[in-house]
Amino acid sequence: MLNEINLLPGKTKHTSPLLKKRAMLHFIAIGALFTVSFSSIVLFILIALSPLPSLQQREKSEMRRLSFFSEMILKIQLTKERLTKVDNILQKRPVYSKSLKSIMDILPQGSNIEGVSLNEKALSITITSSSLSSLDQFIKTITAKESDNVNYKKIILVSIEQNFEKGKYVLTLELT
Amino acid sequence: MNNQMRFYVRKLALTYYNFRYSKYYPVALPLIITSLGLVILVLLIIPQLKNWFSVQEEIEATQARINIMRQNSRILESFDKASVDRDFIVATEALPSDKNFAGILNAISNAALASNVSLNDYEFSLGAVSTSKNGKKVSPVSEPIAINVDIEGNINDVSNFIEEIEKKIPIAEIKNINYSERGGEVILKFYIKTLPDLNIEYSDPITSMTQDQRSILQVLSQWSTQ
Repeated sequence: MLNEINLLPGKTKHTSPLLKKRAMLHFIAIGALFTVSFSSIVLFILIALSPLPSLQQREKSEMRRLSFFSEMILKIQLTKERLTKVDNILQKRPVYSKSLKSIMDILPQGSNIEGVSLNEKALSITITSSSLSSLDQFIKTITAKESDNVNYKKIILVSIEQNFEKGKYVLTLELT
Repeated sequence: MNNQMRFYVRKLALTYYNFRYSKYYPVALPLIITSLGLVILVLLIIPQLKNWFSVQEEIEATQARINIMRQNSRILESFDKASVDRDFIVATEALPSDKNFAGILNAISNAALASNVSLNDYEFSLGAVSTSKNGKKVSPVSEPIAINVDIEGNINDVSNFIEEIEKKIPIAEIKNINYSERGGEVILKFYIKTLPDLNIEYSDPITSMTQDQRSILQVLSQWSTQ
């Protein structure tokens, strides 16, 4: 009998495209579920087996070991903190001894410093001498040194007086 | 089982068989499975992934802290305790944390002795010795102590006195000098710095002193012995 004229339904074959698609859909869905579940289990195991707890234990033991040095650590930190501040102060504070020494170094023979007033802004100095040439020499020297002096930018000749009683000339300069 | 119950069971069975042989049945199962997968993905995998990444970060951070602490241990073991103590004393003497009057008077007297000037009157400007905040006593404020010192001597001696003060600890700054004939007044400012609130973080790297810090310490040590 030819298949073409057989009116009885034959044995159902699961080979139609629709059934194939359905099987594929099932396969994909189950595969995806399996992948997701498997990933979840793997991640759970990886997290559970992570070395973090043992590392935290090691960290604690290192901290205990370092706690014996806590006093030393504090002292080192405080020393550094003090030194930073000291450095800051030393860099900022004016060094007046140098200013005074530089004036005294150029003081001509026979001249004396009668008075000095020094502060952050100005240095006022009073010099006495029996000769005007000494004072003139002092003014010339200090003017020549002006460019070397980083602290004072201007020299003002405040006064030159003659003291007849003492027989001296009195020169007052202000360096600002 | 009463009749009504039986009715509902049969109705349910009928609904099932209606669905079982409907055109939607073939896609229903994959749809349910995929939904279940999505639920697992959202509720389990994503939080687990986040957790995994945070655990990894924590592992790296902890490992880094452990490495630093081990390095700190090695450095601290290499330090000489006596030398650290000495450095600390010098640094705190140079910049005291409180109003160290004895140290200040000592520095002035030694400077006067070394420079051959005579000291006359002292005038201390103490400022706040103690303050309280919110009813709690706190350490003295770190305002510098100003001292007016009357000295006698010639200009060379005064100059030497100033130089000596500049090379003495506690660290002082000369604010003003007024000199006339055989004496004058020097205004000094001695610095104070209160102790900061230090918290020891063992995982912060400990370093040796820098070259600059070493040189300052060396200078201060020389000044402390003068």
